[in-house]
Amino acid sequence: MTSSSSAPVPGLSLKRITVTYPGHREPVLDGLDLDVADGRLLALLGPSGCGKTTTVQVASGLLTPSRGAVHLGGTDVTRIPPEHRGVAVVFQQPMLLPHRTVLDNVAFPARMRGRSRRDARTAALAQLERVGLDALAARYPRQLSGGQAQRVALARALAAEPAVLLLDEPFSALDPSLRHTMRDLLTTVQRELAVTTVLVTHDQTEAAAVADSVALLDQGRLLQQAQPADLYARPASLAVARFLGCPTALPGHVTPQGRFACLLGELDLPDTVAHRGPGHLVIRPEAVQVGTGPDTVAAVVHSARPEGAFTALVADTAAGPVHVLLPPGTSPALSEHLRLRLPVAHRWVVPDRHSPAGPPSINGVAGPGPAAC
Amino acid sequence: MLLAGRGSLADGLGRGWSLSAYEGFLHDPAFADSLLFSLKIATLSTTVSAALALAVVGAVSASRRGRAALETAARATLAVPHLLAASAFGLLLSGAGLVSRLTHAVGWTDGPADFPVLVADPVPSAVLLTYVWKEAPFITIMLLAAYTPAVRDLESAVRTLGAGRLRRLRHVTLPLLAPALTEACLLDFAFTFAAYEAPALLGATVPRALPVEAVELYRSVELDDRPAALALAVVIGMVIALVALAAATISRRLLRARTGS
Amino acid sequence: MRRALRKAVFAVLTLWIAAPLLPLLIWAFAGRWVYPALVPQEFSLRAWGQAAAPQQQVIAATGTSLALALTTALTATALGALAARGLVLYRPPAAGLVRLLLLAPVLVPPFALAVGVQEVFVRAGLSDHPTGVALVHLVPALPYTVLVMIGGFATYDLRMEQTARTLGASRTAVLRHVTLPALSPALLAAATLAFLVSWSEYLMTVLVGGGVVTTLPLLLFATAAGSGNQALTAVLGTLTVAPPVLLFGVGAALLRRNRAVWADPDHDPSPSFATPEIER
Repeated sequence: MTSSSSAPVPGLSLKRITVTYPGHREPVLDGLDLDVADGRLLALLGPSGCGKTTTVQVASGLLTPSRGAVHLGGTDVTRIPPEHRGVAVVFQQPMLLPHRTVLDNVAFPARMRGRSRRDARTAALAQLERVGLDALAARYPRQLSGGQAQRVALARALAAEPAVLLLDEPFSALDPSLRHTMRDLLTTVQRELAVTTVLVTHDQTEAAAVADSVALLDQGRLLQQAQPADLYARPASLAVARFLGCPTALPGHVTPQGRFACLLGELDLPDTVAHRGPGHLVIRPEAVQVGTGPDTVAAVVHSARPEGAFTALVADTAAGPVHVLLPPGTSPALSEHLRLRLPVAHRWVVPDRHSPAGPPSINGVAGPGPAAC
Repeated sequence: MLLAGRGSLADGLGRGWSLSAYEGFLHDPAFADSLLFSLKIATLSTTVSAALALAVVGAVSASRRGRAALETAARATLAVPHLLAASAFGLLLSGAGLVSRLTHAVGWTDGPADFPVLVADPVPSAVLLTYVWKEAPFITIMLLAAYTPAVRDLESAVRTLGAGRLRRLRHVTLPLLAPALTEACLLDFAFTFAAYEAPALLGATVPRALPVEAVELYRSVELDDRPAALALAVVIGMVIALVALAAATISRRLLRARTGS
Repeated sequence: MRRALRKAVFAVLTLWIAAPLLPLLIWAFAGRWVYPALVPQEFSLRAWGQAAAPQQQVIAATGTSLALALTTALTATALGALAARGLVLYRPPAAGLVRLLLLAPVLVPPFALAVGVQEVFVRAGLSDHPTGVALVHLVPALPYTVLVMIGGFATYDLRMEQTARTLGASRTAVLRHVTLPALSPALLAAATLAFLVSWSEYLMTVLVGGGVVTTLPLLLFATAAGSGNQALTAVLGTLTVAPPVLLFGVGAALLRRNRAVWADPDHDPSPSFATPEIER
């Protein structure tokens, strides 16, 4: 686990990337480390302005980092210009050449590699079939819908036979239903070709839906990289938990026996919590239930507002506010006293930043190290 | 106002004078010379200006500061009136002009007579230089205006697909700037073909550019010359109309290639 | 290496601009400059004094030129703004054709235009009169102002006016507080161009003005063509070139200040690609 020599070479690896735009003091990327396993799909998730697009620019070579290195399959490509790097990008806008037909747009990368027009077109048609648009080969980009154009852009990127495929919020300009089909298309194609892929998105459901692993970025730093399920179940920090829609954080500490001591008393924890010492108990709002019995805690309703069919409830407990997402049917009144069940399996403890360092947890709880999964 | 101008023009020619003015042209070798001369000036200056503008825009395309500097320089020359440019080139290129003094100082020429005749020569070197000096910046500005961030975004998108600098120029920049280039060339041609000042100041007496000829005829005291002058105006207008038609066809084809309709 | 290249490019550009203008400036202050001297044997302001003499009409012509150019700039900009507003914001059915007609004067030979207009003006009593000349200057100036204002309106959002109206602004208040400020860069650019067109006009002024209306370009042409007085030519040239260059400079400075306010925040610090220093 500690040495990287035995680990397989990642398809794309960013090492200590720092980017500072001229005239800005704060770096956009601040020593970013990121590994994408060969042939896998990584979702780069984060709020707008966190440096996602800059990461794509650096990986593709359109931007040279102030410091740090980019490796493709183990080779340093930091100084290699984008046209020779073999990293294809699908941007938020399709970026098709307006004066070329769909077919010639997709044939473009092959032409750039010196293939004959005929060969390039044949290969392009195959790529168009892959995205289901071979019937539109003779059209011009202006005659396509947004979704079609973005599919052509994907086909064109694939036609470049890239070592790494970068997608910079490719579906964010599309309407929701179309976005789902595009996601399915992307996962199908990506699995089929096993091309190392980075999908940049600000949409966590999109990230969770398609990615083998998710990297959460904030203010130019990597907060956590893990499988989607792990990210939700075992956030590395309160920032991660909060970004993923889990605002509940009760202060306390984990006893040597592995129980969580706080103002609510000593609570049981699942075995997966390896941390000992001060930390915050987090639990997702969907997991909390209203109920009765010995394993419940007392709470007072602080606020309640409808969230679609559900009710988003904040209830004050002795240890702090707990956020609850109630299923349809129940809607408690303000200041009502009730009892909440916090199911043990859904509990997780985020260590406090300056806690005495115990052995790092298996899930890479501390710091920006690559997740071991 | 434009229609009035056109209408009155047709009046002054058509009624009573018939086509004799035009017939006159057919028998007059000087007319053919003038027409060719003007065509030569317009075509050459447009071609050279366009080539120069394209080269410069292509060269600085990558850097934002380069584009800004180029734009400032082009604007500065754009602000200079044509007449002034012609006068200034006269001072610069005449037999006793500054260039002639320079070549003398370096020892290439022995005196004003030894200096190649650029002003008032049947080969309109000074006229062409003036036009290129004025029109290359004009075309540059038109090209820079069309060279939008969207075009540059497309260039970088295509870069990730393996297109190097020259290929980006050929497959993205040029096709996307082509409509603007066509338009700029048309305007340039129309202007240089019909302009009076530069060839009047810097051109030779024989052959005379068409507009100069027309103005001379118009001011002539002989009554017969007036319809001839108006007929020349019509000829100038028709040549420009033909070129405009050609340009429209080209830009329609460019447009069609983009919309596929 | 790169810096050297950049410097070379700057040098070439500067030389390109200066080549014809520099001798003009030197000549304007040359007292005696006989071939083959590279610099004048003596400098003097004699030509300027000559130009200031009343019989040379230089001062009067400068006034006429300025008045004509300012009138043209104001009128053409106002008309161009109205035409562009109609074309861009309300999209009339034959917008394409109207646009074409408005732009056509750029292509019409000035000689044909002047001659044609002259026929009408003679009948209307406008020929050989400054008003007629101003009207003729309007014709080639309008296409430019229309074109520039179309560009200005293309990025103009009519909903801004509507919003202001719902906030209680009257029509004039909307014009003063919303429309004019938003369009000021385009208006300035259009006015500059129209000024320049009128200021540089020679042939049509001669033909329509009939020698009665004397502008600076007329004097410059006459001196450059006939007199052989290079110093006076240079003085007239300097007078001709100074206002437009000054105007462009001031306009550019104003625009730069204005742009900072109206800059689109979406396109500011780190836009998608327009990131600075994208390497080769």
